[in-house]
Amino acid sequence: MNPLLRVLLLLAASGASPSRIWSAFELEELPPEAFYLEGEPLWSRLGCSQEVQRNLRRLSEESWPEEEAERAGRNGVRLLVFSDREWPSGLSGQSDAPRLLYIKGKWPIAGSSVAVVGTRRCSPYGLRTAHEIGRAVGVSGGVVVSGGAAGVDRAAHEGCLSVKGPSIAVLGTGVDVVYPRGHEALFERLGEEGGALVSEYPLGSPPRQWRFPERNRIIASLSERLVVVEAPLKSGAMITARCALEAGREIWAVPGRINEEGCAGSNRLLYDGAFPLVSIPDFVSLAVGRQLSLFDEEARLEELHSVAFTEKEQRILVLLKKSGERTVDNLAVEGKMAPADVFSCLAALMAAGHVFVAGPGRWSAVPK
Amino acid sequence: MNPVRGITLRGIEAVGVEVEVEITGGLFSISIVGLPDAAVRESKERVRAALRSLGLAVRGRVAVNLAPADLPKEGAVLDLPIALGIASAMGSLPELPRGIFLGELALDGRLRGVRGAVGAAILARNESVPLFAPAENAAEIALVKGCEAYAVDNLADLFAFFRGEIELPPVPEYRLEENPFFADPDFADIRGQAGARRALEIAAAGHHNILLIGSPGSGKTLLARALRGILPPLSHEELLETTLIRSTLGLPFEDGGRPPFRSVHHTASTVSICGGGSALRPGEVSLAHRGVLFLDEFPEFRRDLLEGLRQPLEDGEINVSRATGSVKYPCRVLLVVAANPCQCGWDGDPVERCICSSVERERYRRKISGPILDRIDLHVAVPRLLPEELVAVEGAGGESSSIVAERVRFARRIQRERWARHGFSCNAELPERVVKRFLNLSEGVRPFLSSMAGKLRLSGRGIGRVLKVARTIADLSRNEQTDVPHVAEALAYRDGGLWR
Repeated sequence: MNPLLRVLLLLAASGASPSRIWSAFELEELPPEAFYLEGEPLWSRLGCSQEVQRNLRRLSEESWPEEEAERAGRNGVRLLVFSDREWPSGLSGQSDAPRLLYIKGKWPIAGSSVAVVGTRRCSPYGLRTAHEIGRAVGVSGGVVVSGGAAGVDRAAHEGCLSVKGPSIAVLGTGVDVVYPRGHEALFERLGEEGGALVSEYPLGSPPRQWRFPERNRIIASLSERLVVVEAPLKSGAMITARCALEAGREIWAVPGRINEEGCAGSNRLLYDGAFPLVSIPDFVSLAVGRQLSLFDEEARLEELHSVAFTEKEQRILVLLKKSGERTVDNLAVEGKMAPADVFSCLAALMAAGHVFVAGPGRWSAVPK
Repeated sequence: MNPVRGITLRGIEAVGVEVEVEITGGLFSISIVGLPDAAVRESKERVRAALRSLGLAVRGRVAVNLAPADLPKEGAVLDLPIALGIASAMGSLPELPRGIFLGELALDGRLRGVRGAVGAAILARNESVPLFAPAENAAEIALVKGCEAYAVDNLADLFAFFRGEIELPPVPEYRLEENPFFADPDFADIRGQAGARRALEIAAAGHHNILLIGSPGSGKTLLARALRGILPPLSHEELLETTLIRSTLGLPFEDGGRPPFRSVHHTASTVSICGGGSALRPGEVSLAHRGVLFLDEFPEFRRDLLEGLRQPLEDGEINVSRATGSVKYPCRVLLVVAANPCQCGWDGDPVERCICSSVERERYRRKISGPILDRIDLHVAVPRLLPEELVAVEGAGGESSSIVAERVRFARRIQRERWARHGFSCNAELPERVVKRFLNLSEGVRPFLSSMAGKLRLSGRGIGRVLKVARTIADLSRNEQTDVPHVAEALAYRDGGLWR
């Protein structure tokens, strides 16, 4: 086994911070195999605690790295180390960057990458916006990076997958662990439909609170731009934003209502100078670096092929674009229609992707 | 010896019981054999006192046999036949006429109403013998056509009748009143919720089960109650079916052909909902027969209970089996299910804040989807209207329940006529395999549906449900053909409540 990989695998499972220990080891300017040949004296010099040293000793005696590599091979998981040619360039340079990644799925993935992050408990509007951003990035050839969590993360991944775009989920668990429950299908699609699941933790690592903020730095570094859709002041998305700032990435935020805690963080970012994301096509043309004529063309074609809207459907759409979160009652009164007609218009508009359900019994126009 | 006939209940069915009495000399005692329950055993005190009130003093050893001996007898309904049997054995009565006797005795000889009088009337009709029943039960007995029944106030009257001294008033045949019943609450009283009202109209017209999802205070319960007012009134036969079940439980007769509405709380036991107990009583689901069964706070119901309800709801009857036997009860109900959008109830609300964690949300979601939900054709969200929204819709007054009920009744009639030769009575009953063949789809529907199916991720079963609902919508608008707008509207009720 490659000594470098062996050391990095040992570190990943030792319970220490692999990046920190490795940075210290690099200063020693020793060949990688010295790490386990020299043993305890070196480890304590590098600042490993007694417990970590015990773990390292045990793991190398049990030939854990070899077994882990074998497990990874069996599960179709690639082990990528920082010296590999395919190591993402965005992940080099910082001392706290990971040195080893478990990757399940396609690698490398070409295209400008956009990280879309936000709270797990977002509004239906935030969910839909994340979905549309993911979709727009995917359709114009970009890559959506997110954390595979519920809420905004999931919506962004799904938006991208809906147009068969590649999407990367950076997980806070082992790549073979599904967390949160209910994301089995999503993770499977990510791994198989041109995207990837990425993690720096050994296979089978269960979810632990401290791992999620840690993986956020990888999300930030893997992408060229970061979009915060909806985030409260204290949230993982804000940690990602801080990491992105340190890594020199462009930060965008979707403006939210100022009375909602769920948007306080993303709005604060805007105040602090993040780019306001006020139009998805404009953002995508900048982010993916491609004039979106192609994308527009596609959308126009799609609209032509969809069922042409009736006069009543247009009337409803206009009302919803004016102000969202309307109930059937309001639409019926303002559009001067029977509730039955409102329902049938809403169903048609929803199928055509122009309207979404924003709450129980409330409809809004899809953000564009 | 001349046996007197009474009844006992087995499920909703009345079973004939022969009461034989023998009196021999000796110290006074009454013993009752033939598997009597406590109420039957205690009847000896009531019977003795009632007879004494007529001046008959029971003396000697009285043996009462209830045949068939292996059938458990229950309730006070056997008081009257036991009293008649004893009086007859004492020689104080002329030859008794043939007939079935039922009634609970008061100590002064008055007859009290009993459970199971309707079942007894059916038994009497089938055997073409007269029925003598307490006057309190006269109204419900009247429902049974072709039954010769007499209402009896007290034991003294009955004895006088036997001696030919007086005539007993025969129970007149029941006439269902034509004038529609009073809807409470009336649709016109509900402000806003035009969408949910429309969905309820469709539910009533096609007998589609319906799910209402909305935050607390949005009016789910009110809407569910209002559904009762737009259902077609019960026919004579249906009223008889519902009264038979109510009578088995001793519930008072409800006149007017108003469909029943039973609201079940989620803490209710399986027995109280499905029926059972050693006496094999009908449960709430049977009491709601031909009417509405309302399950509020649906996700709080126990999973096994819902699983148990699934098959009965589909078949329209429930089999209650216990060690003491098994009975079938009818339970053709319109199921109305209400749920909050999440555990705390405020998910997606424009003002209130939802405090559920994502795990809680996921758990709630799993609870809400499931086998029963698959059987519910209409899913409707009930938005909590904000004060300003209520003001905005103030002008648009709703139709009154009677107008809606008229449309519903018409749609039901069309369906009955259309499906009569297939053996169904409403659109919701259509089995999956016949749906597409008989719905008379217009030309545009098929391409429309296939274009939608991809976008909305419709399953085969989902499409079947949508088409059934679309057919009902077409019936409501008196269209022969199921057209694209009908299908589009039906699509809106597919999962309107579950939006995440």
